[in-house]
Amino acid sequence: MWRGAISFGMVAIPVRMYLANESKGVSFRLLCPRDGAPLRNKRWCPVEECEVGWNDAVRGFEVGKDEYVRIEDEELDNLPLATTRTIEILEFCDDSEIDAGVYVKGAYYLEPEAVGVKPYQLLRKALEKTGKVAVGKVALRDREHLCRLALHERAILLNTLHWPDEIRDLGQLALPDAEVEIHARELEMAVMLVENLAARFDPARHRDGYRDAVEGLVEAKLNDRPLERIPSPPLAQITDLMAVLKASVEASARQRQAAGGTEAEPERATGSARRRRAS
Amino acid sequence: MPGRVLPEFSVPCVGAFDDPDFRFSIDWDGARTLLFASPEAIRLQSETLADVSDRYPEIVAAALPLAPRSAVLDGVVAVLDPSGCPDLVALGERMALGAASQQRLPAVYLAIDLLHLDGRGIMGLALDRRLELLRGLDLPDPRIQVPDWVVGEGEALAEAAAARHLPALLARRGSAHYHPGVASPERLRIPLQHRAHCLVVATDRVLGSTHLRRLRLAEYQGSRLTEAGTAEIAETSMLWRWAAPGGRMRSPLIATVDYRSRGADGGLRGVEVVTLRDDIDPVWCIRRDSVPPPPSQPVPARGFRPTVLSALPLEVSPAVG
Repeated sequence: MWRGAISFGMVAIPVRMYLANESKGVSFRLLCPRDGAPLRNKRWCPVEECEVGWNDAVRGFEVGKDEYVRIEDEELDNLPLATTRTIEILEFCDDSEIDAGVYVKGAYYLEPEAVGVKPYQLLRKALEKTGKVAVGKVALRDREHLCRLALHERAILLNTLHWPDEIRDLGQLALPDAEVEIHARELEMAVMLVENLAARFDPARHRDGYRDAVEGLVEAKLNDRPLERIPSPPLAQITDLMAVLKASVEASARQRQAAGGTEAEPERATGSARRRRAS
Repeated sequence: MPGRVLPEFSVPCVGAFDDPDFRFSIDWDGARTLLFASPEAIRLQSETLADVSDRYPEIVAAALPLAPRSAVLDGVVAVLDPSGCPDLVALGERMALGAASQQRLPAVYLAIDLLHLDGRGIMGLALDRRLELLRGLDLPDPRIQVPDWVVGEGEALAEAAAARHLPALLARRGSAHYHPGVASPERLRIPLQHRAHCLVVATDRVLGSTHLRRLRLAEYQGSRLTEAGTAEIAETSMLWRWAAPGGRMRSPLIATVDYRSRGADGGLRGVEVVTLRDDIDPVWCIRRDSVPPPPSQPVPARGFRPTVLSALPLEVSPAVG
């Protein structure tokens, strides 16, 4: 999904970056309540009252009410950022110093390009030997991110991190202070409860119960009644129009016969009086 | 099974006529398309010999019952309005939006001829026999329809069709063979409206307008491309956005237009764009003189002498427009 290089000091390691996870959450489509057709989002121009295609839309940066500065894709591509094609390592630190619980956003695997295998392994060994993780910057999807590089099995894992000013201050919350009195007996019971449930973390033992429940509901509904299908408009038949036209032709022939008396009935095609086989 | 087949074209006729040797039908508003069905594949071929199967997947699916018979059908892809009348504007919209719009704008195939059946070419059979075989095909899906025709009574059908604003009649001789790639004098087109296909050779912004674009139209006269007039279209319209993605006009681009009259120079007056399209060969954007109706007692044909149109340049001369 992304190609670039890990850069630190004089070393550049060409790598490819892949998403380390995928979303399997339950998602629903919004349907029209009357006919069940899936609703679509349209990019609508309120001035010209028309839809604008994806390719025709341009970006604008809002600088005031109804005031925008247009930004072209090429201008974004040419932004003077050192990190557009590099993961620039700034420092190495202990992993415990990064509060992953609030800082980590996304996870990506880094795979070395053919020419980068040796320096990639070198970086892995260095991280392993020192027990450190790397902190750096990378530009992804029009944004520069803070990131962490750490060992993950045989690979190097890149986690994008929130910038410090994106982390909300705990001071906004009404948290209990340390002065709350807790009896030794209560603490002993709580610790016992924790120890009873203590286990080695095995992700495979945990399942998304909500997704399972929705899938079960869908399956049950499928068994009970036919699948909600998108209705198609009824297909008109050209034969209906031709029948009207032929009726006019036949009426005209009858009028001529009545007027002339001698005019012969026109020949009919073998199949012309038959209607096309219905579906 | 042939790889590609050029369709037979028609010769314009000055007016409707009665002749028991002719089969009169409506010249349906739509995209002339040949349907190839064989056990290996089902595909649709446009008048320009392009494969347009991806544009109309519902028709490809509807033709599955034909696959075991190995058949080639000649016909028209159309979008019908609720009364069953082909709607060329809706077809243009369908072409612009692509197959994604098939739910809202379902296409139907109106078969008017059968060219191959069971692996054998039958273009050498008389039209009457080919139509009989076409009627005999198992076509259970309403997305493939075989419109009816009238024998002999062109004038009455023209009157009824004109009252319903249908564009033209097709008059085909019952004994005629199928002549691919040429305009056959045994296949006459009787116009009921002032309609033409023109090549769009240039465009510019209408003076003083912020969103209207003027199309400069041209037609071939012989092998010479001549100016045919102008028409306007909104730049914000779906058709124009399809015709000029990213502001760059498709080439070749054909405009099907309705017009009020032709001037002394043959140019079009009072032109309105019906649709823009890429499924018509520019060489058929041609200003041709209409022929008179055939004599009531035609001389039996001795060999076929088609109107063969020479290959015309597809490149637009920069001098035009």
